[in-house]
Parts: sequence; structure tokens; C-alpha cells
Amino acid sequence: MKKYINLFVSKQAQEALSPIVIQARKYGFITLIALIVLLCAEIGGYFFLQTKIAALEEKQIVLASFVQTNKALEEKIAYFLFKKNLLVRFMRDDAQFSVYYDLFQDITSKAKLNVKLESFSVDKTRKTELTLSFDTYEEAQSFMKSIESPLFLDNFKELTISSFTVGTRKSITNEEIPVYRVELKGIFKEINENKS
Amino acid sequence: MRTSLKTDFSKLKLRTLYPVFIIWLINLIMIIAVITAIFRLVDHYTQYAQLRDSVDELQIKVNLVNENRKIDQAELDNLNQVLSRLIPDNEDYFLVISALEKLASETGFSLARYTINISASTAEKLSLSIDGSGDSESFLKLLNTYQYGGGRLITNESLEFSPLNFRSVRLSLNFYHKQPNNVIDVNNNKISEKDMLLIKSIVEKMNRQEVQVQ
Repeated sequence: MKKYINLFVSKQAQEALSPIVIQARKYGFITLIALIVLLCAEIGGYFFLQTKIAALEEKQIVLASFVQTNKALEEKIAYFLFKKNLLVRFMRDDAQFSVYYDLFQDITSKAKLNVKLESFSVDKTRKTELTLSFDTYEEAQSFMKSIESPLFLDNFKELTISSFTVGTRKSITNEEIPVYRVELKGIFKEINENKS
Repeated sequence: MRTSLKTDFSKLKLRTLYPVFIIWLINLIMIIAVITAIFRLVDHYTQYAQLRDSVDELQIKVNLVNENRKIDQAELDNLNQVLSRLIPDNEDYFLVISALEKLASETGFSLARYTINISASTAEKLSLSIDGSGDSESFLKLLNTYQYGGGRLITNESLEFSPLNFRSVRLSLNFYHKQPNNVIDVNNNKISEKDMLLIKSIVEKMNRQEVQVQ
């Protein structure tokens, strides 16, 4: 009776242990396989990089020798490109006053307009403000009509008359004579845009 | 009898646990090996990446030389000299004053009282407010020549001119300087004919202005 009880207890203990051992063995094998695969991949990657490095080292020697031979030329070219790019960038800061001033004078002379330019302003974004004066109403009217002509439309992106006033000025004989004043606001087309 | 059965059971337990223990011991060694290999691989990759960057940098320089091999080196030297005068590497107040004096003597428009616009100045731009006086003709001459007439690149961001009531004017002029860096723009590594013509046209303008003065 005693012997039976003992055997029963032992069997119970063994049965309780077995699933844990089986699981530990199963996951142990899986982990081992995964680790072997990982290590193999790493070794593969190492040799892949080794090949790449060897090829790059070879290429580096060839290129470095070329660069060393042509160092003076390379520096001159790099200097030119650097400064030229700066020049182009900095030139965008310029209002190019004389270019647009001459352009406006050219437009009025081509349009055969008798215009007195009282003030002219332009900034680097080509925004402009102009004050023009005319001795007669007919001259002012003729100018207003010409604003819609291709001469103006081809050279301005925008152009609006912000005011039209009649004032007076003193003539040589000290007489008060009327003066017709037109104020314009607009944006010039970029000079290169005009050419293209 | 009881003791004998217990010993048997312990032996059974050990016999079952040995392989598991060995597998996990191997796993432990493998984990250490994998981690060590990862570190080696990372080191190797860093070495590869550095080498690749260095080769890329060299390749850019090689392409730069190859793309521009046909350029006349003597001409390039001359154009570089012009560029270094227009935009010097470092700012020099003496050069600024000398450029303004040159402009004044070329145009007959007097430039006096220079004030530095600190708010408008940057690391590469010196902005000056300058009081000028003269007649409208000399002022227009100045406006035609200021960009390169002083031997430096000078810009003016906005200007108002009243020809009928002209007496004096306050000009805001910018002077530029910048030290070259070694960065090459891969998308813009060819000196085109247009680039050469641009600088040559500036040289022509500068020469023409000098001849006019003489």
C-alpha cells in the first residue's frame, strides 16, 4: 500500500515538471535557430561591407590622385562658381533704378508724350511710384489714353492711376498757371521678361 | 526503498534538464556573440559611410574639373580677380571708402557723411546711409554707374528721384563680402558661357566707366 502511494506521488511530480521542460527545450531550440540565422546574417553583412569598403578604398585612391593633380584648377572653378552665385544673388537686392528710369523715359518718348517727370521711385521688387505733370488738360488726357496701349502693357505688370489733381504753378512771368498732376503706382515687368 | 525511488527521480529530473540547460547555455553564448557582432557591424558601417562620403566628395570635385576642363585657365584667373574685387572675402572699410570716393570722382556727385545701417547690415552685407549732393545730371550719372563703378558690387534697394526739385539725396547703399566655403553645389557645377559673359559684361562696364572718366 505504501509502495503504491509513493509511486503515485513520484509520477505526479514528474508529470508536473515535463511540460515546463518541454517548453524550455522547444523555445531553447527556436531561440538557438533564430540566433544562428541572425549571426549568419551579421557575418554576411560584415563581409558585404568589407567588399564595399575595399572597392571604395580603391576608388578613393584613384579619385584623390586626380583631385590632387587638378587641385589648382578645381579651386579656381569652385571660387568662380561660388562668387558668381553670390553676385547673382546679391544683384537681386538692387532696384536697378537707371534701367527702369531709362525704360520709362523710353516709353514716354516712343508714345510721343509731353510728360514732366516730377518724381520716380522704384524698389528691388520693381514696385514703382511716379508723379507726372502736364501743362495742358489735352496732354494729360492723351497720356491717360496711352496707358492702355501695348507700350505700357508690355512693360508693366500692374499700373494704376492713384490720383489726378489740378494744381497751379508760377510761370516765368510770375503768373499762376494750371498744372495737371497724375500719380501712378505699379510694378514693372522684369527687364528680362520684356526681352523674352 | 523510499530513498532509492527519490534518487531515481532526481536522476530522471537531471537527465531531462541537462539538454535544456545546455541549449540555453549555448543560447547565452550566441546572444553574446550576436551582440558583439552587432557592435562590430555598426563600427564597420560607420567606416563604410565615412568612406562613401569622402568618395562622394572627391567625385564631386572630379566632376567639377571634368565639366569645366575646356575653360581657359588664364581667362578664369582674370575673372576670379574681378569677382574677388566685386565681392571680397573680408570687409575692409578702407575699400568701401575708396569705392565711394572713386564713384564720386567718376560722376561728380559728392558723397559725404557715411552712416552704417546696423539693422540692415548682415554678416555678408554692409549697409551704409550716405548723404549726397550735386545736380540731377551728376546724380543720374551716379545711378548709372554705382553698381560696379567703385570697383565693388554696390546695390541700392529702393530709391526716389525728383528731377525737377533735385538738391540732395540720402542713399542707402549695400556692400558685400563673403569668405568662400568649400561646398560645391552639385546641381550647379558647370561654368556656362552665360556665366562668363555676365562677368565679362561687368568688366566691360567697369572699363568703359574708367575710360569715360579719363
